[in-house]
Formats: sequence, structure tokens, C-alpha cells
Amino acid sequence: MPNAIVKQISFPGRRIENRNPDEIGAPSDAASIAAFQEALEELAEAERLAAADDDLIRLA
Amino acid sequence: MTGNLSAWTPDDSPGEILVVTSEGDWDFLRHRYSPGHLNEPLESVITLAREHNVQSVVIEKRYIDRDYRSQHSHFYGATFTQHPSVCHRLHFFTNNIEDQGSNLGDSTLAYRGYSVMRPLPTAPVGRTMIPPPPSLTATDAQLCLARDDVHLWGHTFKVDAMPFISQDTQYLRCAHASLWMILHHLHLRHGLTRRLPHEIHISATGGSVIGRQLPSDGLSPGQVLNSLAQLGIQAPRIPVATTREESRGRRMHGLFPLVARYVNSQLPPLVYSQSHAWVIVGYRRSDPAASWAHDNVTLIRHDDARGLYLIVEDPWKESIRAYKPWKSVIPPLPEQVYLSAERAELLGQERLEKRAKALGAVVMNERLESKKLVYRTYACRSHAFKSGTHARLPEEVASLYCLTHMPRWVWVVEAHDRDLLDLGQPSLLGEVIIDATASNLSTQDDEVVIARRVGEDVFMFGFDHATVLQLVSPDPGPFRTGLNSPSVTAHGRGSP
Repeated sequence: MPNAIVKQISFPGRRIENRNPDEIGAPSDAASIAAFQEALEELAEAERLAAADDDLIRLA
Repeated sequence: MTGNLSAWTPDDSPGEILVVTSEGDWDFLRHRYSPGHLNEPLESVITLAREHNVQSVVIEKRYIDRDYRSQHSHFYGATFTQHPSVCHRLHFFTNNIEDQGSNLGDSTLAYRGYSVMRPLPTAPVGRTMIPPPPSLTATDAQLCLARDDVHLWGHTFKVDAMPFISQDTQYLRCAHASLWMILHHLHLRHGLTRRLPHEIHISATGGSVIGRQLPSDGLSPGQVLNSLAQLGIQAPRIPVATTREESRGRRMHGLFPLVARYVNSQLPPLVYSQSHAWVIVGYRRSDPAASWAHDNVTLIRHDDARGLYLIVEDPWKESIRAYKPWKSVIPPLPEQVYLSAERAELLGQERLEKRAKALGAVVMNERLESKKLVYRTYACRSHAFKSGTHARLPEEVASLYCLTHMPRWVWVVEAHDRDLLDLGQPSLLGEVIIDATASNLSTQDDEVVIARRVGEDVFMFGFDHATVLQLVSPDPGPFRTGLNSPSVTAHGRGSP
């Protein structure tokens, strides 16, 4: 291996060794999982494809 | 003149300078480019130029416009009537351009953009880049704008605008023209591949065909989606609520917050009605003195058949039949933005609020409880986000963000103090940066968050080795949004 000066770049900040749920935000409790699922379902409902007859629309 | 091949370019003259000081001077342009017709897009161009107080129009003759050439080589070149293959380009200046254009070099600040005139008397307005009117820029309007470098007789000018083109009723219809406007903006603003009319026309021939394709009877919404997919844009179709009340009830999918997220991201959404399509290019508060509440928002559109930067008075009470009713919104999500804005906002909101509660972040929790916390979400290229951090964040935080591995596109979800936002002061209490390539079905505990800041508490999450870093930085109080930081608003073409 040729000699070369290699300088490592490091992140500022403190490394968290133990993934404390409060710090990293997971895992969630059952109540918040349920609330989030409900919000996702609400989104999915609104995102449902427009009525099939939209494809008979002629945009001119 | 437009119907006469030789009259279009009767000599080798490089161009003309038109001094416009009266209505009659503008009539010269009307009579030359749309004789015998009232062409609404041309009227809109003239109105906009007048709002900019344009004093001189430099007419560049024999301009080779790539977009019109694309139409000409695939359609107009095959008609019995000869159509010139060259265009005229009108350049607008707010000063008096002297004979021979001798002061063009000193006129960069007076430049107000250009409009290409096609040799089509019923549809003259081709590629157009004119900045929004002063009446809009004087307000806190959020607009989709991209920069174009313009070359004229050895001089270079710059224009920041949302691209516009009108349909020609044969090769390009409203949906084609709307697609062109969106795609040209994505090219100029985000460096995506430039798409010419022929590519758009061909890409839209799949899907649910509802009539002749050439001359085009128009496109179905399915063809619009197919065209975007063929051209590398993965667009959802989101139905619009039928009433204002229903829209309010949809909360995250209410029309105004939905559209605002994509305008914030410089991804102008296409909207269609029962018979027409147009592009939303911006929004502003209806009453500048009132709150940034969603119902206090006025939308701004480009309509290829009517013109540029048109104010939408009320989406549910349109006066023009073609706009009724608003059916669906099609946001143009580039490849590698798999997560939608709505899902990114839901995830970001969850992570910010959970952390604020765990930390006991007094201000943010109080704002949340008093319903004074408002979310703003935007997508941007991560390099632009990173380079904007130095000007608005403590150096250590900016450094952490900049060294963090990020995909090309990220979603940024910001939590603002609504009162401070309304006052135009720094109002950002927390932000979360989300991987735009994450699954659209991600749930709250999935690894989608790249970094998160709530006040003084900053976290970075490494994806490959599960590194988690925390930085406790002095809390400067509410800080500035990254939405309109100079690097995020930097325009310019780049390779895809």
C-alpha cells in the first residue's frame, strides 16, 4: 500500500449507542400506531383514482 | 402577413425595434401576428408586457425555435400550405432601445423576457418566458419560476419566469400544452431532460384514446398520465373535492394545501376539468393582512388558451365553462421521488410532534396545543438544501446536514409558528428531512428520516450502519425557512 496522508472526516455531534425510543422516535406505542394507520387510510381514501368515467373526458 | 410565406421573412434583416408608447403601437403586434382574430394568449402577453411598463420590443426575425421546429417537422411541413419553419421572437424591455440596438449591452436590468411568435395566425404564441407581473411579485406570492439565459445579437439576458405556450388546436391541444409547460419548467428549474412537442405528442398516444390523434381531438386524463410516465414523471391523480366545505374536511388533501406542497417544490401541478386542462403556477394569500390559513389562499394559473399568471377567483365558482368543474390534480413527481408530499408530511409531522413531546419543547408543544403550529412541505434537490443551510442555521448544524448522506431528492417538512409566519418573521420551530425514495407505504417507524431538528435538538440517522448522531446546538429561537433560501431558489439548467 503506498504511503499517503489520509485524513478522516467525522460528523459533529454525539453518537447514540443505545437506540433510546425517546431519542430516535421509534418504536411507537399501539395507540399512536393505530392513529397513524387511520391517517394513512384517510390519505389512501382521498388518493383513490378518480371515477373511471374520467377517462372518457376529452381535454382540448 | 403570417399567411404569406415570403412576407414572414421578406429579407435578411436581423430584426426590428418597436417603440411602444400607445395602444396603437401594441396594435401593430396584434395585426401582424394575429390578423383578424382576437387571440387571448397574445392579448395576455401584451397585457403582461404593459404591466411591466415595457417601452421597447425588439423583434428578432428568423428565429429558429426548437419547439416550433418540432411541430413543423412532424406536422406543418406536411400540409399543402407552406408554413415558414422560422419564428419571430419578441424581446421586451422597459427602456428605450436605441437605433441599431446600440444600448442593448446596458439594458440587462430592463429586460422583461420574450415571447416566440409562430407563423400561425390563429395560434401565434409559442414558447414564452415573461416574469410574473409586479402586482404578484409585490405580494408574498409563492410562484414556480425558472431561469432562462437568453442570447440576442451578442448580448446575454436573464429571465426568471414560468414557461408558457399556447395550443395550436391541431398538433398541441390544451393537455399537450400544459404538459409542455410543466416539462419545460422541470428542465429549466431541476435539470430534467428538455422535451419537445413531438416527444410529448407521441408519448401521449397511449392510454385511453378518445378521438383522433392527428390532428388531435384532445387527450384523456389517462393519456396525460401515460405521457408523463413515458417521459419519466410518475404522477398521481388526486380528485378535487366538489365543494369548498368538502375540501376543508379533507384536511391534508384539501385543494389548497395539496397544490401548495407541489408549488413549494417547484413541481407545478396540472389540473383538469370536464373539458380543459391548465397548470397551477403559484399561490398567494387572498387577503395579505389575514392569516396563512388554507382558506385564505388564491391560486394562480397558466391557461394555454387564455394566458399567463391568471388569478383563480374561486375554484368552485368558476365563471368560464371550460374550467367547470375542477376534477383532479396531477402533480408531476420526478423519478426518484417515490414518496408523495402528503405521505411525507404525515410522516414528518408524526416524527416532529413525537420528539417535541419527548423533549418537553415548550414553545412547539404550546403552539401545537393552541393550534398555532402550521406545516410546510417541499421537495428539493439535496445539494440545494445543503448549501442553503449555512445562511440560516448554526454552523455546526449546517455542517452536520452537509456531511450527511442524502439521496438526490429529499422532502423537507417544516413546523412553523403561525403567528410569526403571518408577521413575516423567522418562524421555523422544527424540521425533518425525509428520504424521497422511501416507500409510499412507509409507516411511522420505518427508516425514512435522514435528519430532524426540534429547537436545539438535532439528530442525524445513518441508513447503512444504523448510526445515530445527536447534536445539541444553542437554540437560536425560531429560525428561517429553507423554502426560499437562495440555493433552493437557484435556477439553471443542468444535465439530468
